[in-house]
Amino acid sequence: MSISQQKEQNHIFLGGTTAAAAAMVNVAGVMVFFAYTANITGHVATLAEELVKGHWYQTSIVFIWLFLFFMGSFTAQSLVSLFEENKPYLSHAAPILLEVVILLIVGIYGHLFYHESLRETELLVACLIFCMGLQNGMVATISANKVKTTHLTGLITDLGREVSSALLKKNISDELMSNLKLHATILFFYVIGGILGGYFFLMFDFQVFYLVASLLAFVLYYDFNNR
Amino acid sequence: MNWIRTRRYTLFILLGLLCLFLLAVQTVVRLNPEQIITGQWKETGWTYENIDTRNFVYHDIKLTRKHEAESWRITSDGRLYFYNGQDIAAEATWKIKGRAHVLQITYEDGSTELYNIKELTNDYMVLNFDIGIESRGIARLVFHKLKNS
Repeated sequence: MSISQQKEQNHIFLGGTTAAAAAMVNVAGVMVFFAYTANITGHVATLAEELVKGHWYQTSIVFIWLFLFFMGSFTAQSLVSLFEENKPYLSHAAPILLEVVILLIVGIYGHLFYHESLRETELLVACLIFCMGLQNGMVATISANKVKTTHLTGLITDLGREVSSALLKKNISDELMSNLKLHATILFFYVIGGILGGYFFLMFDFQVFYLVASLLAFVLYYDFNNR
Repeated sequence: MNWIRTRRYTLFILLGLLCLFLLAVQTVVRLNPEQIITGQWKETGWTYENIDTRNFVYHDIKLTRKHEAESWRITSDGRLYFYNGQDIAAEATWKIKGRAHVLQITYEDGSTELYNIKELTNDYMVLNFDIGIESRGIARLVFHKLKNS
């Protein structure tokens, strides 16, 4: 297998698994907290709405959530930069490890201690949003901006353009085919992850976060074995 | 570790953390919606908005318990009492979810109702009953807080 093929395969694996993880977290977040954890565009719209209405409390909360998504991506890039020269494996592993730890904390707290107070809800949503920023930042960094898995607006836009190009052009380039496969895989696994996340949440409640953490641990294992 | 020594980078982190801290403090210092909502609320309005036929929406929501009550007493221990005059018509528990925009009411039989909190101040509260995004209308409940509550 050539290096570019190996790279493509890694991107597809990384995109598929992290998209499934993001979808599970997003759906579980909506079901338990009534708040999206990966839909940042929606939060920006909400921020504007709450601001216009003069709802300062809600505006502050949404702003903090948005900021934490930003900080998640910021932290991911910082960790990658910190380790990439001396410990390249750790540069990929550290953001995922941090995400796994936070997801486990959310899962354990939600499972054993959550009393459904507003403060707890806001804090747990904040943790999940930070995780999604972390994951999206890490995936975007190590795939050189090819993969982003926590939101689908850009992805479906790209997919639409790529499908059109693939149908209209006589010669489909390798790059186009590669992007098409990657984006279709991410979309597929996001949908599957969302469905499974909702189903497992109804069955196992907060323990669904253990499942997401396990999935990400598998990503770590795969990354380690493919070095 | 050269990258972390750059002044621009450190300043950026500090400013970010400071903003987050100030916002968090500001939010915590403000009255919590869970505290604002506690008290005795008198239902003063029950209106339908954006609908073509009243019966269509009314059909969806007529079974809800709120019709039994003239006032609600919301306590800090998570209990909600629906009053008809002086009598308690029903009891439930309440939670606020999301960004303090969802009021979840769970009745003793386990059934749940969701309300969208449109306004919540120390004097009045406006709730939209969640009847599904497909329905072409909303039921709006307006409450005023009783002064002695």
